[in-house]
Amino acid sequence: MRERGHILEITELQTYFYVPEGVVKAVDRVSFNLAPGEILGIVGESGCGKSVTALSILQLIDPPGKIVSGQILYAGENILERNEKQMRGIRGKRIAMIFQDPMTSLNPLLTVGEQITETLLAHQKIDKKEALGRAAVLLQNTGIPDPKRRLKEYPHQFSGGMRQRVMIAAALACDPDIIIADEATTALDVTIQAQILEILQELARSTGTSVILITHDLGIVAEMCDRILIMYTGRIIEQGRTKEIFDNPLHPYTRGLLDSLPERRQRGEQLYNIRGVVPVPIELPSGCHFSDRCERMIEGTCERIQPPWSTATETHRVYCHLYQDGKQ
Amino acid sequence: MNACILELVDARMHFPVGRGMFKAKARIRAVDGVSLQIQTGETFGLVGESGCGKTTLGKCILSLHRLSGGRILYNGNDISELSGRQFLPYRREISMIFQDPNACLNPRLKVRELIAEPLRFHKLALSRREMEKKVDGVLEDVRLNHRYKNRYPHEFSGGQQQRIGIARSLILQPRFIVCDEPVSALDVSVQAQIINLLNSLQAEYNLTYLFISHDLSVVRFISRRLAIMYLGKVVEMGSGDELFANPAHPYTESLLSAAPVPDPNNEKQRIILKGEVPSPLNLPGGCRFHPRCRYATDVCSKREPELEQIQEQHRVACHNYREVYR
Repeated sequence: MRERGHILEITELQTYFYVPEGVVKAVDRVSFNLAPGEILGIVGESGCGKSVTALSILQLIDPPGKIVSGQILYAGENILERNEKQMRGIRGKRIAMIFQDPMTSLNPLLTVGEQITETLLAHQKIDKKEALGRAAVLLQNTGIPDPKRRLKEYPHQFSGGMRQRVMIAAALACDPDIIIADEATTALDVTIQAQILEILQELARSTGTSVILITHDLGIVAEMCDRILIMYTGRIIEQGRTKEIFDNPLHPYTRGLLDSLPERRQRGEQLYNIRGVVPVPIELPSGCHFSDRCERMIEGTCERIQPPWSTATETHRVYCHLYQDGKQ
Repeated sequence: MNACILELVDARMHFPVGRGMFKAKARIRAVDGVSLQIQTGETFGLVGESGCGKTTLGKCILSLHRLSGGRILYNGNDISELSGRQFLPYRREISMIFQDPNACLNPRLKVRELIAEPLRFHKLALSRREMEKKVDGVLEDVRLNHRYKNRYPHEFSGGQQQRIGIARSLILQPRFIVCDEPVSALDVSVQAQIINLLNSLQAEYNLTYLFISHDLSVVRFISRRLAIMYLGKVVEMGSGDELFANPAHPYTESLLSAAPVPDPNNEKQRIILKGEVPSPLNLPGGCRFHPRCRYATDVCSKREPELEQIQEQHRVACHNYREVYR
């Protein structure tokens, strides 16, 4: 089913924010690959760096943020070495992004048609009429009835779910290789969310487009993703196939997250609490960032020494002192 | 059998909306004939998608909106017709926890002022020391260190802010709390902490909750009985166990199937609903759900179904529930 090779290879990516209080390592030595047609989930709680990772891929980091080091190979080429003009040829055309809140990313003064064709006209040599025709097809494909008429309407005339479809249509306009969906369904109702997820899944299956799905919702990744990365304070702490992560979570943080889900408990039981709170990003422990909240911390090791990556299976890896070569 | 603490009888909340000078006023029927009974000490779940009227219903109970029809009985007394002044004593008994703690905490007040504000408002003649003692007491109840009480809300994380919100609604020792999406804005691990907190407070003080949420898994976990709302109406009501195992309304069925399940081994059939929720200004005739319903028949567009009892604890408003319910 899958082709060999990766469409995206990220190695040791570091994105820092230089704020008055110090340096925030928002993305700290993050490495992962993405295969064509794969749906990859990046999961973590607010502030863990999942959105900054996505923005780094598109090089949309503004000061005080900066991509400090690392490599982002897109189709074998390091796009971190590209200049701004060359990046514009990639954004929207090869790698497209869908944001959480469509109302803030759609221009209220332009019709929906103008916004979808904007990408097309910028990247492809076609005239406006042709572009509008293509836009109508795109809207149709994302399940918007009567697309020709709706192209002439403005974003405020669309409901939340419909706006998110417009965003997807705009993202798909140039037939990109990768779509990054950053909490794209978080603001939507469950029944509408199900419709949008269905569209994304169908897309990956039928056209071989890769999808990076950024979410805090473990239910969504369980249903949608082939593989999952779990992030905590800027680092990936566990990665593996979806089944591996859910059936055999290794990192204490991953276990804690899964145990705190109400779906896994009966009414009347206590939900599992991960003790403490996420540390302030400029006061991180020098060893494992999770050590001060971890129930299985090894005193003298975890808080001081950075954990090694251990490999449980070919695809399942964990960043924790408790494991050596995947065994406890 | 527990006594009924709160009863809604055919509660209606219609909002007039202007449509220009010469056109007749239109009405949004946000809550349209809801009847339910909540027992003392239970958590009653109210589930629905945005715009279904669940928050409006919560606000009506607190008399923040005046009902356009029907009654609200609190311990047997009709509280829907009371004036603001007459309602004051009930305001001490019925309180509310909101979704976004950041939006409902005045950023210029310190935590202790925020928490003591209801005490001052109700002019509960307390000495300074008594007031401090009360504030310390609720801070302990919500597991916040009392050393924090001189800080401002922005110095806290989302979970801690929600604890402050809960402390504020607890300070007057209420009996009934409307929890309006109290954990929806929180991360999973923080959500678990707040749910545990709400549960232990309930056990400690015999509180009754109306728990409003769009998140089925949270509602299933926290409440024994629940009602599903769609466009201002309750479409199904019953015990959580029964509803989740044997949904009878097509809308409930599709909600359950649409909610993502955090278990990759779960191979459920996702039912994708057609279309979107219609505008409440322009409700479809007959059953409000019929344009999106896959079981709809002729009768559905003509006659509005009534809630009918199909089990001792299970009621549904659907002409064709037998297609769904087995």
